[in-house]
Amino acid sequence: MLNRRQFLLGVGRGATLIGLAPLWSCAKSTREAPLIQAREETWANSVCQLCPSGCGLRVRLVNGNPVTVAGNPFHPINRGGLCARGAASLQLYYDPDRLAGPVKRDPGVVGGWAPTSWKDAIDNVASRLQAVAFSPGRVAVIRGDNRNLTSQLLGRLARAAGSSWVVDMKAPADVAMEEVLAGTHGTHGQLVQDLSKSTVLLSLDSGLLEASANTMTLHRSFADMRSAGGYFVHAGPRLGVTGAKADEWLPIRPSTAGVFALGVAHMLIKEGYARVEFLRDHVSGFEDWTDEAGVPQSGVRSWILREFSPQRVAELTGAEWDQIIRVARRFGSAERPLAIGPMQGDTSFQTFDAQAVHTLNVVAGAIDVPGGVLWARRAPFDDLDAPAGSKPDVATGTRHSPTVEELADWVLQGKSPPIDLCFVHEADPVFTSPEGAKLADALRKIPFVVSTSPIMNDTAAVATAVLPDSLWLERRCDSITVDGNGYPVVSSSPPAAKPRADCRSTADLVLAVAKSAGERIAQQFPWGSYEEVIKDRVELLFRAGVGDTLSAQHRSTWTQLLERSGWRAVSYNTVEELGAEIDKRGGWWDPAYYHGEWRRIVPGGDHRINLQAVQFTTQPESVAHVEGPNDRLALYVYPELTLTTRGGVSLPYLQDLGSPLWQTSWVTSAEINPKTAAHLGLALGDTIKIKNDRGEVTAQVRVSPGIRPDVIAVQSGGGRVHGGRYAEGIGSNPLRLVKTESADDPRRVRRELTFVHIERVA
Amino acid sequence: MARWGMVIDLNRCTACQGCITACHQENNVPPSNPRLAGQNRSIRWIDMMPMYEGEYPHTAMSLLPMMCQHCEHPPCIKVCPVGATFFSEEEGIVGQVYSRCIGCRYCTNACPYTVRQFNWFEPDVPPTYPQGTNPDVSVRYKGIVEKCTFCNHRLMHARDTARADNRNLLPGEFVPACVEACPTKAMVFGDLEDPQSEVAKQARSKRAFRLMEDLGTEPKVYYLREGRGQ
Repeated sequence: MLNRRQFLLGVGRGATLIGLAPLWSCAKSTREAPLIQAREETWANSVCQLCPSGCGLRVRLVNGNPVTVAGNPFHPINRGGLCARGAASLQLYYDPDRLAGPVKRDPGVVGGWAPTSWKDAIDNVASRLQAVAFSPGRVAVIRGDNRNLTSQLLGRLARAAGSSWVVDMKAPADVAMEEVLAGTHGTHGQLVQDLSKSTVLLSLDSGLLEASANTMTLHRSFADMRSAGGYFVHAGPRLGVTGAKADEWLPIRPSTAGVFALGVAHMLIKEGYARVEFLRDHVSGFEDWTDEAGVPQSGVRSWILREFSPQRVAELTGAEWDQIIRVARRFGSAERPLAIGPMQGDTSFQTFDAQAVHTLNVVAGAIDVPGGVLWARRAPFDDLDAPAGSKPDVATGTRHSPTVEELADWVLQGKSPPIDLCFVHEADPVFTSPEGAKLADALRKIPFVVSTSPIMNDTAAVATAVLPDSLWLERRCDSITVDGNGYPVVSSSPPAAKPRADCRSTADLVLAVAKSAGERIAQQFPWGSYEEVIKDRVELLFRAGVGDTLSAQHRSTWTQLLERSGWRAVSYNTVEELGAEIDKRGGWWDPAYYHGEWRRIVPGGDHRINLQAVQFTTQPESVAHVEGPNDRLALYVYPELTLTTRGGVSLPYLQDLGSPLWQTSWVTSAEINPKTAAHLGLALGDTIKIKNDRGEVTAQVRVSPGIRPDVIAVQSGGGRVHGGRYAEGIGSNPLRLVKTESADDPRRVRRELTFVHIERVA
Repeated sequence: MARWGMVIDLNRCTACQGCITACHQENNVPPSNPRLAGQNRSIRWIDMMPMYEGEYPHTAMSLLPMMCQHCEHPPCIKVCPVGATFFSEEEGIVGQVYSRCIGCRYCTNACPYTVRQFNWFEPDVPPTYPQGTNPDVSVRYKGIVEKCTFCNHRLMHARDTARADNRNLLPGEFVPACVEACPTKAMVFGDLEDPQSEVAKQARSKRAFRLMEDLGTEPKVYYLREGRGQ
């Protein structure tokens, strides 16, 4: 280490130091090493995989080492920007606790894990797969919600082996919205909220500025809306960042977002703000009708008018009835109103809430219009998830994507057919699921569990083998997603940096396993490598004859005009040129959105949104069961943007940031209203235990006027047992306390309103 | 002669903290740990300042990203006994000379914005991290005060490139890491002396305000108030 005297002898300038070799690495005598080192600087592209946004990256390398991660200015999702997670991602590349290579469980070894070779690992997995491929339901895949080819290949592997145990670790709110859309629209299309053009935005406990599956897009669209003068109302139990940026905050009770939405819909209908032409032309089930047997049937309109008067909604939600009327009038009379519901829904959330918010948007006519809810256009190729001829297996029946809790129950109840082989990729469900402990027991019971995590996280810790995926910087990476305008975006970049461990891309792992697992499975995977899969997709993009490589923002109307006239002015002539341009610029997109394509929005039948399809089976009273027992608070868990990266990693820059709302970090914080704090004798910084019959967590008190007095808000992201030195033992996991009992209909997503009591520790 | 300054539009800022991580990555700021954080000694060159207003249920909150304001009349340079911090007349940036700093922390006390950070301990980094440091920025060690430099190193590099090409700096050729990383483009940076620059135009907005203007420090970081209008 240089001291000041040595340094001053060496350098004469008094200005800010530049060009100096980092002092940390000067372990040897400085007289030997030159003070200014020659260096080669290069830049490379990559695609971030820390969340489903799939932002384009520009990586700066010095002498082959990545030193800066910045945003790719061409990329439509982030336009050169980066959220806190992306900018900290190098700390994952240089993580001292990364696995050095593939390991398998070995009780005879100290620590329980022994290194294994890729060849042995692939052979083991392949032979296992081959053994069970002829019996249905024996293979399971648990994958994160990143939208990329690797994820699709894993789904394909399970289905090729005759299993439909493909579990997507999506937010409960996303799962619920998919169910709602599948029922009302008959499609699994991806929704995009076109915030940037809306004039009045109503957040129904959305947490849109906390973390979500579309963080980057939502933040950017939100900024555009505010710059254009949009009005923003946030209704929810917690102020948070979302409420801090709102014009008004209405502190409603937890679990009442849907009720509030229908209260607003009630006023829209009653005062003539409902978009009657839209409802007449594109919606069924709204008005009352008489069925074929002559029996009069009640439409959703009568039900809303009957059940959701402002007075009743005020009683149930805790808002003032005049606030509800005022907000509804502003919303209804807006040129382009838009309602946005919960993005995460970890606590106090049900499918009812997703359905209610969608109904409000339908009543307000905010469907497929600028500033409304858009149905994203798809990339011009099918997902690889479902190989030709795959059938849903009988055991899981005709469910939509099974949940990880259902998988745990299946295994622990010893149901048949038993799962023999399970893959976990880009997810840490033992940590993120409220039933994590139960899931850990289930995974221990499954004979062979493979995790592809690059570090030992809570799920990998109960696996049989950990076959670490390369980081996106170290391999070909891709993302198949949509931007805030509903345009399809396909990102793809070659490796940016050399691997720092003996890791392998999971896509290549899947292909190698499939090839060695017998003809029946191998024939579903006609590609020799991940690169070949990419080339295949690029060829499909070329043949589709639409879109172009990524470019600057421009008006969609021009692109549409060109496309519809059959003209294209693209930057490539051959497939190879397209591939090279994609690698150079970061990807491909099709910047056109066509409104009014009802065959895309409601593919089947009479192309009408069927509001009756997902029955509101729950009545408002049971939904808004609000008063807990005395001295109990309702628990509200929300995802902290800095702490909820996919796959369970914690990076010191992010741990240190924690929440922007206060300046302490490396602890789990719990927000309590000042009145409640006074009543419980709590002060800022006190340590408390938060308990219910499911367990207890420890947290530090933040006294905040931004939370209802009957609620305690706890950030999620802390409390990992495994995950490297910057994560282990830091904080506490409040998701453990959340109840997830299923309602009458097991398809419904349900996170119960959970009550807790508080005990001061220090 | 330039007066580098910044305008932060609070309508566009969503408190994602991307600016903070980008800055820390660019400037080799050491990662913190629970001990440092518990003592409020984490080093943050730029930080979110939360300010609650009003009582429940009429709560409002502002979140301001705050870094060194690069005052025209900086209180910190006046109190430094060894000349480790200075005001650059050519660029308007308040610079820091790590090699001269003796760690007395007079500057840290004098700064009304509390944006100066002191290295109370040796940076606690694992052996894998040094390879990933940005070679353009020197790494500090225990006993040294550090703060935002408006990515001075990027400015020097840009000036060198422009001089080699025998031209002036182009608009947008020099941006600090935080401005570059901001996903919502809430931060605008440039030369306040150039009346045609975007930053000068926005600084003249009716929504513009500066922090603690009554102290007479003349900070060069402007904020645009939230809410509608303009």
